[in-house]
Amino acid sequence: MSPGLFDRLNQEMQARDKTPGLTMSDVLVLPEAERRLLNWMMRADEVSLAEVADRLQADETAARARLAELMEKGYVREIDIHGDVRYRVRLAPKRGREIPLNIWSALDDKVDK
Amino acid sequence: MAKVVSIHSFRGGTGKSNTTANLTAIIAQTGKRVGVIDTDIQSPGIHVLFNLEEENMDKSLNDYLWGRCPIEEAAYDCSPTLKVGGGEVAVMGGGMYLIPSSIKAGDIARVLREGYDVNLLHDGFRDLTRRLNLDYLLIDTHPGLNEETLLSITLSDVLVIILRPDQQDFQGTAVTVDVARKLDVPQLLLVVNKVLPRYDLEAVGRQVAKTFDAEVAGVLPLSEDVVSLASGGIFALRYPDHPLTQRYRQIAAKIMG
Repeated sequence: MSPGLFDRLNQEMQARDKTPGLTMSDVLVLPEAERRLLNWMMRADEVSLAEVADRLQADETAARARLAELMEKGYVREIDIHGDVRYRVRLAPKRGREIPLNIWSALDDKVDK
Repeated sequence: MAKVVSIHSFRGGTGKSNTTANLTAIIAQTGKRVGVIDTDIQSPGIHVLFNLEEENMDKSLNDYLWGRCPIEEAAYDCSPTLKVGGGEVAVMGGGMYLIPSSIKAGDIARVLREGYDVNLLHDGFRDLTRRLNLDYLLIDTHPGLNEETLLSITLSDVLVIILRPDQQDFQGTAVTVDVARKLDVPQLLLVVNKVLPRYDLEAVGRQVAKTFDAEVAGVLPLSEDVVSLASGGIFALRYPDHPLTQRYRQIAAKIMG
């Protein structure tokens, strides 16, 4: 195995442990209310606190608490657009395939030729 | 606001890319601006139908996902490369843009090995529709259920599921329909493809609609003419008066609502 390949894998594994975010397979097993809120947020791209409150049919304090829970789980992030606070789903990076390292190494060799 | 349409099948070989290409061309012929994106990054193929040669593919979806270019730089206006029945260039009313996935072995290996930032794919759909001023974005997905397919389904206004009259397809489609409902897809359409011509096509459609409790947008017979074309072009452009093309038009009309 080449040092380059090992370094790349090592970096990826370290990054994986630190990276929060929602995977689409997570979405399928979430409780219905949470799943539907996140589906809606993804389709809307980014939403305001008022829009979340409207969607939940709740006041802004309750909506803020719900968003704080989702941010704590790493599923949602707050973004600032010219002073306007918006909320967006944070998707987890797609992981590379976990298959024997010598396959990638062999493929690298073939492709580089 | 562009309408996002995912074309999906649980199993391979259903005619997903062929159907996507035909629907793209038919919608573009009505004067709409249509983008089609190949998210089947591990086994791309729809570029063949649009006559996009590998040597002319300077940028691809892979380059965008690796941060090498904005997504619109990986979009190819395919209208000038398409031929209709007599060999003349097709006139697409609004424009037809393909964002291919790379067909290079090294690129496919890299994306499988390293993965990518799914947020970029999400952003890419949005940016593409805005920057190319699209009316429709069609997403050709990888068969089965994986992360990008689930994301595409979630972001879609319309999900078209293609199946053959086959027990394995039926079982897989049941899973996909269940997933689509969990992901709150606003409109779900089924297309039954490769049905033996001796069958009563309308009866097949009714049976499938009842089985999945979903709307069947079209039933397409297995066609020797499609097989003969062998992905050498877009069927609806080559054979605009063919009965199968009429059926594609009916499906497109359902999508356009």
